[in-house]
Amino acid sequence: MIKLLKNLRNFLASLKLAIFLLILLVLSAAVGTFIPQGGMPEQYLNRFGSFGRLIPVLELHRVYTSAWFTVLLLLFSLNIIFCTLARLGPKLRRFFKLDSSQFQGLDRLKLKAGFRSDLSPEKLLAEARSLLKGRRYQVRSIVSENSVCLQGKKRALGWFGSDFVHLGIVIILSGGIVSSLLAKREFMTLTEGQEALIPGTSIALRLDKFETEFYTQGGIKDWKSTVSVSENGQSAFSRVIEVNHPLSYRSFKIYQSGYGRDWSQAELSLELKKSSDPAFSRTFILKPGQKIPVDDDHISLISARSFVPDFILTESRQVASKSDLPNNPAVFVEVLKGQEKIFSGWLFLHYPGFQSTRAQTEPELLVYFRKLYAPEYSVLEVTRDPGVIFIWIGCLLLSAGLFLAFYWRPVEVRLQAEEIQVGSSVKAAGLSAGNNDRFRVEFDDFIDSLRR
Amino acid sequence: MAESVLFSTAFGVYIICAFFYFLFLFTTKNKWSNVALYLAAAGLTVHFAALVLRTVISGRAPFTNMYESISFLSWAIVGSYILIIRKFPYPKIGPYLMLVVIALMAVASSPLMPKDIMPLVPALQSYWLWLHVSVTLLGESFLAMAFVASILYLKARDSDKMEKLDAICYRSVAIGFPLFTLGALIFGMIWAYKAWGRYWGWDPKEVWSLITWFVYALYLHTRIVMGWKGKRSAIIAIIGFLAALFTFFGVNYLLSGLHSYL
Repeated sequence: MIKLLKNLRNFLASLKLAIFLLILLVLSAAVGTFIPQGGMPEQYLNRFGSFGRLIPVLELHRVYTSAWFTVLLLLFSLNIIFCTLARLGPKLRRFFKLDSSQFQGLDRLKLKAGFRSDLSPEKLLAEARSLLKGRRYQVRSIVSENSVCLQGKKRALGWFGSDFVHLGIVIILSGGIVSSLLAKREFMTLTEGQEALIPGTSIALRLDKFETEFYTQGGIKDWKSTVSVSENGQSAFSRVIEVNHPLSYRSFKIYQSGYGRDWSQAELSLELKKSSDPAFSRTFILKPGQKIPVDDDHISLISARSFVPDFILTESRQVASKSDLPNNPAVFVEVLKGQEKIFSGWLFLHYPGFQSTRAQTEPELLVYFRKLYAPEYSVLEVTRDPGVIFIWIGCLLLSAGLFLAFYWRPVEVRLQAEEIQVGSSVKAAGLSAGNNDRFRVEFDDFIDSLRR
Repeated sequence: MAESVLFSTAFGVYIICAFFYFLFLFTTKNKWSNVALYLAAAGLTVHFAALVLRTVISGRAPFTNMYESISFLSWAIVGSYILIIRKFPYPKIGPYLMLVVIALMAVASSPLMPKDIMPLVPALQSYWLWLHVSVTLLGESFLAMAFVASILYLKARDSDKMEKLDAICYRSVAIGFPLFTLGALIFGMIWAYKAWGRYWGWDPKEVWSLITWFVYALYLHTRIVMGWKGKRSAIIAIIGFLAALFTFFGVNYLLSGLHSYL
């Protein structure tokens, strides 16, 4: 059992696993960018043929939230944790403790020196200490009966660069888990003057004003929502939310996320004319679906049966709206005189002549779609994500770690002097992370000074 | 107008610089590589003036569309080359690096790249545009150095040469990788959180930056912990830069996502 656990630990702490996982993560992340994500199973069947059948089975249509990708990321985290811990223990011990075992086998290191000195070990120690301190080394020593050991180190935090990086990544990944489990996001659609509660809270948002700003040369410059925040009915403050400038309130962040027009509340301005009487003109303002009874000799009722902002006829000759934008606003109007339908048809804002060209003889009643107004609404995205703080802490550690690993290059000098009949016999070695030419020069320089 | 004249001048100077580098390669006379290095510095200065002028005229960062970003990247590559070459005097990398720069400048000059100054869409109006894009492209310029050094490594036969190229490659990654991490991933997450309300959304650009980052992580781990050097390291560095290029171009032209600001 213990052996099994040990094997498992060694497996999780192995660099081979890390490399295998990195390659696997690269490949599976790439797959998700080539297969469109979030589609319906039929789409993949149409597009990829029989391979398309496998896509939903292997969850390739939602790679990044799939069970296997999550397992991969968890395994990756475990691997980082075990790898780091396996190497951290000895590093910490070396960082804090100093014992004579560290001075065995100095002559097996790459950068080394050995010489005999006329000075006694104690005097040599004092000399080496002052030389190293002059070069801003931290110096510690062990003095025993007939020998001395000295350790001088500089930028020792640099040994831990990779550990900071790894810790940062693990914290970022845990932040990701927290986010995926606990983050909430709600979209709130508000027209000017409308107020609504953030779902599940007593915080209310009222949209006081919504503006779309344009550049002089065309194109949208910004969307701005002026929002009043109140809590438990007590008004707190008012602020402008725009793209790139979300509002933070308590644990919420509120973003300008979208905009549009509320077509159900549109005001359609219709003008009635008569071909026999050019002076006759009456204008009605209707909402989609609204009927207005009219007290008139000629008309008894006018109704706007349906409205679309972007008129299109589908293949089955059904009327639909191509988009939510007012590209081709059209309204279906019926006009009654008593029980008799005297007008019925689609009217187009941008093509006022369209209805009359259809008729062969000029009809008596002419109806025009003159104006359109619809209140604009703003879409605010309200988010609460407790994982975010982990992400920023992780990023900070990751940045600090990368700096330490690449630019805070630790160096260490170890020296042992043993008493001999006249003076002492000295062994020394230098340790650095990676190849460090500058340190090699410094080490040689130090040895030369000490010999003298 | 003046900006395009400066840009074309810089392009011309880079071409002459490459010519002298190749002259150096074939004659092995050091004076030609020195001339070429001065020309590279001159081109860099003129190119810098072009970038500054564009910033002044448009009133915003000079990397908001493909033309501007490629121009900035080319400039950064020349800059990082001059920095690296001072530390590792190995001018034989110059001719090939200038070829990469010329290729990028040619792509930027192509009539397919709109060069007009267009107003910025709301999502791009942020000082994070400066930080995110400039640091990422600076990082990528060093990764480009590593890429050229690695290709030359695979061609080289002389062990002294190989050792130098391997060292240049590692040094470039050691500068480029932290910059890329900071600019692309960390600043990217911060800005995404400010602009889109989430720090990570598996957008194709995000995924490919992460893939690039994983490949260089692989480079560093196989090298530092497993002691891989030379050929295998060089191949990973080449794959890494290809991933970075795909993140830069491929995602915009072949995949769709939130980052399609062209």
